[in-house]
Amino acid sequence: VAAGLDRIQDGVRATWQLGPELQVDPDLRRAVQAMVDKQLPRIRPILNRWLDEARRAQPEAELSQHLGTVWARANNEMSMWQLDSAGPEHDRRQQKAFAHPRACDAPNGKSALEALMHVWNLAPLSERKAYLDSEAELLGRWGTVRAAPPARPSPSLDDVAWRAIDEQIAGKAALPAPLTPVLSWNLLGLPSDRATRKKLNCALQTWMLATDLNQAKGDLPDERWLMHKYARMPDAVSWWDQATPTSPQADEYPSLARSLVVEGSVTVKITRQADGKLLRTEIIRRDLKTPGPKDQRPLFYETLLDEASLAKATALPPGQPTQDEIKSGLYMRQVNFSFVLK
Amino acid sequence: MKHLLMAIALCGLVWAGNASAQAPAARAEEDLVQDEAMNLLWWGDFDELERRHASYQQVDQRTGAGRSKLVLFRTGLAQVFDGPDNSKDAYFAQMDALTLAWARAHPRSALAHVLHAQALLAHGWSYRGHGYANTIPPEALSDFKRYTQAALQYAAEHQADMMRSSSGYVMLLEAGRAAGWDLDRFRAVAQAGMALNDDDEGLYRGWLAAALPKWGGSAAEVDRVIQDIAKRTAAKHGDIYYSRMYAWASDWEFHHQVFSDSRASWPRAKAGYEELIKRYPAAVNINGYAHFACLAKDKPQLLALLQRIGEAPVLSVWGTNGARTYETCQRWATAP
Repeated sequence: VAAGLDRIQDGVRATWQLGPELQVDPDLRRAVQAMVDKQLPRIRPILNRWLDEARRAQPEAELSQHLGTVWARANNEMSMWQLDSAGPEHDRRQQKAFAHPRACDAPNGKSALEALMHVWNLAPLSERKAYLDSEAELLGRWGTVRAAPPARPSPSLDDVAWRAIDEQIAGKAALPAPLTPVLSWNLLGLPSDRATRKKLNCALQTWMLATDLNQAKGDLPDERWLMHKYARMPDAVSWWDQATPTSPQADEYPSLARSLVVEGSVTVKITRQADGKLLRTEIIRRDLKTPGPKDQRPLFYETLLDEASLAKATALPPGQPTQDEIKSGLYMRQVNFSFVLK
Repeated sequence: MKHLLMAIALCGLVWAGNASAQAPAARAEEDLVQDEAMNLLWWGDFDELERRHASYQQVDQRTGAGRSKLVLFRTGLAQVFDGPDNSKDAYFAQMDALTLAWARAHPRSALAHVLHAQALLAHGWSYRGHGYANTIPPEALSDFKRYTQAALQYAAEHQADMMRSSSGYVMLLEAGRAAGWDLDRFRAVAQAGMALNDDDEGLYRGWLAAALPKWGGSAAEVDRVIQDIAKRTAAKHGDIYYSRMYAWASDWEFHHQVFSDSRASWPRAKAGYEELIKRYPAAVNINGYAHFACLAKDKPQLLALLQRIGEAPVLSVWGTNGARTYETCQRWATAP
C-alpha cells in the first residue's frame, strides 16, 4: 500500500515540480516553491482518505483496483485545479497572462505549475502578488470537495480555432486577426498533419485568446473564457499525447482508453453539405465510466474517446438528406458511439 | 539552437517553441542577441521588441567581440521576415497584416513602421529570390517591384515617425537597393541616418552594400564609402571600420580577390585589425584578421595569428568555404 501511494504522491509532486530549465526571476521561483512546500504535506493524508473511501465503496475489489481509483482521482484533481477559479479578478488576470505572446515559449514539461510560473514571470511585477495569492488559494483546494465544474462547451475552442485556420487555408474566410509567425510559418507554408497541429495548439490558443480579448475590448464573456479554460486544462489526452494511434481506425478501441479502463458513449454531431460532403464533426456529449470516484465528473478522462468517435463519424456513409435539408444546403445528424471493453 | 529548430521547420517539421526559455548553454553572445530578436518576432512579442530596439539604439551597444547589437537584432528579425524557403504567399501576407496591425495600434513607434516596411520588402524579395535578374520570371520581377514600391510608399507616408530612428534609414537603404536608386541618393540617406545616430553600424553596411559592383557600384565607390566611414569613426575607433568594412566587402562580393579587385590597402587594414584585437581580443576577430592576412599573402602575420588561434579556428569567418579556406591558408603558411 505504501509503495503504491508513494508513486501516486510522486506523480502529484511532479505536476508541481519547478525544474531548473525554466528561466524565471529567482524571487518568483522562491515564492512559488514556498507555496508548493506549504501544500505538499497535505497530499499523503488526502491519498490515505481516498484509499479508505475506495475500500469502503468496493470492499470486494483488490488493492490494485483501489490504488487505481486513488490514482484516477489524483489525476482528476489536476484538471479540477486548472479549471477552478479564484474569482472574476483572478480570471481577468489569467486571461491577460495567457494571452501574452510568449505564453507558450516554455519547456514542455509535465509540471502544470511550471507553465503557470512562466506566464507569471512574463506579467508585470506589480501583479505578481495577486497571481500568487490566487494560486495559493486554488492549490489549497486540492483534494477538497468542490462545486461541479460547468459543462464543457461545444464546439470546443480547438474546433473553432482550427476551423478558422482551415477556412483561411481554403480561401473561404479571412481570419479574425493576423497570425503570429510561429503559426503562419508552420501552418500556411506546408500541409500540417495531426502531430504538427497538436504541437501548435498552445500557440493557437494564445492567438485566439489575444484575438478574443481584443474583440471583446478586454471583457471576455464567461462562456468564451470557459472555452479557453477547457482548452488549456490538462487531461489524459494532452498528458500522454496518445489518445489513439497516429492514424485512428474507426474500428479500433483507443489504446490509452483501454489501458485506463475507460468506456462509455460519445455523441457526435455530423454536418454535411446537401451533396453529402462532410463539413465538420463535433462532440456534443460524453457519458463515460472511469475507475475514478463516481461522485465527480471525470474531467481528466473525458476526451479519451473523442478522436476515435470523430474517426468513426467521419467513416460513416453520408446517408440521405430530406427535401428541406437539400433546400437549406446543409444537413446534420447526431450519432451515438458506444465503447465497451471486452 | 533556434537556428536548428527553424531549419527543421523549413524541412517540414513543426517547431512550437521552448528553446529560448531553457537555460542557455555556452553560446556566443552574438547568437543570443540575434536569436532573442528572432524569438520575439517569432512569437509576436512586439512590446519586448520595442524595448530591445530602444536599448540597442543607445551608443556603444556592442558584444564582447565588438559586434553591433543593433545589427544582430536586425539579422534576427530578418530570419523571420524571410520566411521558410518553401513558404507560400500566405505567410508573407500574414506578416504584412500582423506588422500593419501593430503599426496602426502604435502610430508613434518608429520600429512599428520599420517592421511593416520590412515585411513588405521581404514579401517582394520572396518573389524575386536572390539569383541574378535574368533568372527571375518577369511576373515575379513585377511583384518584387510592386512590394518594393509599397514599402517605399509606406515609408514616405510615415516618414515623420519612422525617421525618428536610424532603423528607418537602414530600412530605406535596403529598399533603395531593391528599387535601384543611384549612389548619390544612398549617400544622402546614409548621411541623414548618421546625423541621427552615427554609431548605427547598419547604416555603414547598407551604404556599403549599395556601393558594391553587383548592385551598380564600383570598386572606386566601395572605397569612397569605406574611406568616408573610416574618417567619421576614426576618432573613436581608429581604422577598425576600414578593416571591418573591407572584410564585409570581401564576404559580400570580392571574396579571395579583395586585394586585387578592390582598392583595399593591406597595411591600413592590418592597422585596423591590430586596433580591433587590442580592444576586442575575441577569437572571432583574431580569425578574421588571419583570414585577411591570408588573402593579403602576408605569411609572417598569418603564421603569428595561426599560432594564437591554435587548434580551434572559428571557421565562420574564413569565407564561404571556411573549413577548406582555413586548411589551405594553414598549408600555405607552413610550406617552406
